[in-house]
Amino acid sequence: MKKIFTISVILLMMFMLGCAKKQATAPDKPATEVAKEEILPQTNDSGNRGLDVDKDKNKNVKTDEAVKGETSTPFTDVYFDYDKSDIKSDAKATLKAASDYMIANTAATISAEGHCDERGTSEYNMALGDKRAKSVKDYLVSLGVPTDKISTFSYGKEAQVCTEHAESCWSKNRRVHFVVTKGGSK
Amino acid sequence: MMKKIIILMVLLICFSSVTVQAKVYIDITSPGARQIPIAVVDFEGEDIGRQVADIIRSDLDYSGFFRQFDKSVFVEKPNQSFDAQNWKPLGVELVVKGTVETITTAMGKVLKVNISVFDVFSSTRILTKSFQARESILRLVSHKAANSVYESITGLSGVFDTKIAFVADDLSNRYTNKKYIYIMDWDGERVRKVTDGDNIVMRPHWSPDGLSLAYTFEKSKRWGINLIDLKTLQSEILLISQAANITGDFAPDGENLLISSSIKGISNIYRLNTKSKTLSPLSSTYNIETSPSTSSSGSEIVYVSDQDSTPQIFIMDKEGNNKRRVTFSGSYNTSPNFSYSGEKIVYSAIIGGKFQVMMINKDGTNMVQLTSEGNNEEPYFSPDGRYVVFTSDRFGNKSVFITRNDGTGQKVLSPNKIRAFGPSWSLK
Repeated sequence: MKKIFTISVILLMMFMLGCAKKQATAPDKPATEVAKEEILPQTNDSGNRGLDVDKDKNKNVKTDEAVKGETSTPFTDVYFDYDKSDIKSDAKATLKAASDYMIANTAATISAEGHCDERGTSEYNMALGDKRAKSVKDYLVSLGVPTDKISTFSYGKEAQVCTEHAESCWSKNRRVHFVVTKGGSK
Repeated sequence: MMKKIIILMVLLICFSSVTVQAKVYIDITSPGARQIPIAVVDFEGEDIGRQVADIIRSDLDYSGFFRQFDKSVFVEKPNQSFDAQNWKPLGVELVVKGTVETITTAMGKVLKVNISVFDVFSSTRILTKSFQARESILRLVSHKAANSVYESITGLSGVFDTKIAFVADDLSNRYTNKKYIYIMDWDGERVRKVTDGDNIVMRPHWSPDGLSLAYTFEKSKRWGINLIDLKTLQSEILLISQAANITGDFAPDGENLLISSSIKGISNIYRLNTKSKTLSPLSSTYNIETSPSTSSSGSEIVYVSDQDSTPQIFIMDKEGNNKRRVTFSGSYNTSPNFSYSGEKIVYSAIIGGKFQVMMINKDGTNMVQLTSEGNNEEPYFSPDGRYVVFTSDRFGNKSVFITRNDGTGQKVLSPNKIRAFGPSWSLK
């Protein structure tokens, strides 16, 4: 019993020392931290706040530059309902004409480019534009166009043709636009 | 028996000393916590001392947990030592003091910032800390100092030295339509451009170490995912194709990136290994699935799916199983972001024809609307979940805004007069 008591006292002292050490980390001996900026891109000009930027520049980006200068197409745009990607009945004549053209012009390849209106988030609209483009492609394939003649691409809501904040404009933006990428007869 | 008592005593002594050290002055986790009266005295060291104190005041102020005093009422001057009697009559409970000096080290001439926090009631010093840094990063050091003050009082980590990345027009060239990625401090200062510009750029996402950003860009009608090293500004294309390849959050391992891609038909969620550049599908559905975001554990992924015909927020486990719907209110809920702790989700919803930032528990309960003016989209939590950055068009052009997670304190962070969007918050 005596032994246990002695050991306990030693233990107690050790613990107290341990505790005391912990407390000693407080005040008076400041811990110095060397602060560095690990990321420091110096090669680029830093943007100055309050810099006068032309107001016109703040308008939405219109059609992407890559679209310009390409062969204009004999195809017309196909339009969609809000948040939908199924082919509307009034688009079927347009797509029939497109498939007739593709079947007659075996050298032609096209890109179906899906677009969305400005409402909705960029990411979801990118996926929706893609779904619209593929829905058009599937429809054309079902009419007999070889699948390898049609590629698809989504611009999401990033390349609007109309920038008013109204349904009259939104309906124009919810589209699949065709670009002839090879063998256009026009 | 004796032994047991002694051990118990020892444990008690140890615990009580630890408790004293970790005294929490305000329990900011409890709703309606009072604001603690704090005085930040200008630091000794002329102009620079004043600047450091100003940044600390501003950081503490935005946190919403402190009540500050105009320094004109301070009796104690910066060069006088702390005396509780100078502060008690003012009702001040905590005092922050410090010095800034220039010293010469191996790094050359650097600033040394010494900081102390005093408890007026017990007349004791509760924090002493020093920082050394080049003068060019004075703001960063001040934010780090603010973090130590915040931590010494609340017991929680501060986020004042973290950063926000976003997409915007060119700040210096008005004749380009290109979009750039910028980073800035949490208070909107030190805005720096980190990319050379692309036609279309989507929201960047930080690697967990805060040293790189992944983002989606368009080039020659292909969608690429780029990884940019923020130390060197070198970038590497991880994936590029005609499919809609859209960057989401990094997995906590920092090696895998969650993305959505329409590479196999419709947009689904994949894990993209940034080293091997291989894709592993997390789900294979006929529905749109996009915008993956994950918490610090990485065990669950929140994302958008249109499987119930409208876009809604869903959660699945990290291997793509156990899918469950989180949002049941409204017909358009997108752009989710998981809090680091994995408890809350922020997202944007269409309410009355406008986009608003919403916050909800991951089990779908406790939905709150954080914004109401204009359209508010693309919310992203701070690492501690106390603040949210988002995009708003309430003043015309889209700008990056910040709010506290209770909807108070909404303000613009991105530079004036340029279109800015797609913010995300670094963990470090």
